[in-house]
Amino acid sequence: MTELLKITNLTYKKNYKTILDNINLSIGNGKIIGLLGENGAGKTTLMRLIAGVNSIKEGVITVDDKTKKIDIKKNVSLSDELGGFGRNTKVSEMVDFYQNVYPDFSMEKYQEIAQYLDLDESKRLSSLSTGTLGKLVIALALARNTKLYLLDEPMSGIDSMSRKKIISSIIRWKSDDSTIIISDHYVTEIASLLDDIVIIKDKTVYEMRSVESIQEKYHLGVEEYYEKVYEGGLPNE
Amino acid sequence: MSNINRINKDLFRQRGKLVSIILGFHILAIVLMMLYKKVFKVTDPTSLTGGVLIAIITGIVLLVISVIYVFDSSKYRLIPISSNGLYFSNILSAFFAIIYLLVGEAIIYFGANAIFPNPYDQMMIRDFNVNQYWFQIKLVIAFILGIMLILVGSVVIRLLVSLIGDLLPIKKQTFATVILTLIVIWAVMVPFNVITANTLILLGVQEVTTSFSSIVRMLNMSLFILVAWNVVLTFLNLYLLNRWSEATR
Repeated sequence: MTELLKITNLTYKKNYKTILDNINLSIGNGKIIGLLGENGAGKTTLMRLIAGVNSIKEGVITVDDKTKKIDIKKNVSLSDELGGFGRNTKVSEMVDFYQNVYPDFSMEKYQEIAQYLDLDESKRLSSLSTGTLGKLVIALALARNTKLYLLDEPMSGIDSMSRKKIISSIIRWKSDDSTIIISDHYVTEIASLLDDIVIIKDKTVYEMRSVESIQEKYHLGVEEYYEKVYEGGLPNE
Repeated sequence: MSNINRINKDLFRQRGKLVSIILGFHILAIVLMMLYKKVFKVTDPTSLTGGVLIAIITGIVLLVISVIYVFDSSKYRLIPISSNGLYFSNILSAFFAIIYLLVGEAIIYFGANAIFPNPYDQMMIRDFNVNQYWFQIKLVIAFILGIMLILVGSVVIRLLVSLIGDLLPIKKQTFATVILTLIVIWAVMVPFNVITANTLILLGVQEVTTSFSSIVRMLNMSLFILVAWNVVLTFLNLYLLNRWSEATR
């Protein structure tokens, strides 16, 4: 396993507040990682920093041995909330935009995922339910052929049937050598997917651990382990 | 196709659409006005200059919003393209949109005057139609450079407001952002005015009289200053964009 993402001494401050403090992280390829933390822990900020949308003032982020923003962006697919598109935009227009601006966007892959998730390209953004919007975000993010996928709270506000579909699509369309980082605070939903977890607590990476080691050492599921960490019931090693 | 060409294609299409809508509305407004005059038998001549001015101002305002939006939106900031590439694609597409808007408005103006002639506009066309072609070309260039300066300057102000806002404990409070924007505009305008005025003095503006050659010299100075400011502010924008700026949407 080779190192895909490396974060060194990353600190991010905004509006006089430290949001992330001295983050150090190393993630290999071919994994599904859960980025866990309570609301406002800095999960989204960390993802945006990795994707190059927020500017790095202190620290270094390396993706596939590259530190230049443009090279990182080529290797990272972030599930954008699609806020940049007008409410009247048709799904087909958004797909056209992705196909136009991302050279690694696979139309074939998108159509497969869209068919599986029952996405209708003729609909407008304003007419989509939260669940369908969530599915569209995932379909667009996964249809790019990149090394690192950052899925920011993909299950947020989504019904259980759609959640199941999203989870199975993540498993189905993930290539062997790509890595997916999924952030969420509803751990139960994504626990079954994960190889490793990264817990963000007190503005920094509290711990990175494999799901296997949690089960072996503590005989706990990911959710129980995460809860215990947040309640202060487990020592940080 | 390179990434810059890909984004250029999208921005050119988007801005072309925006200007086409403005031109379409202007034509519609002229047709409706003439219909109204015919139906209600209004015989007073109506100048078309005001409509052209409104359309151009609307176009500039919408283009400024559109240019700033590209730098604010993660829709564009996520695209694998350098900040410089994004900046020049954005500004270049806005530049061509301005040319399209001005040419379109000129066609509408002269076309409408040919179909619905009125004494005010005919007098204006006659006055402008003297044989000073080089002077006229320079005037149009100065006008375009002025619009570009508005665009580039607006980006400077937006990026500075965003940078300073991130350093202050104000988060996304609208009122505080408005106050901050006004302060930044004032802070930018003071050195802008001082430097422009002093440069004009250095270039010999005090010797300018009302003679045509003096006016031409004044126009040349203005062209030089407009180009200089556009270049300086472009460098400032590129620095802010590369080092400090981040998507807010």
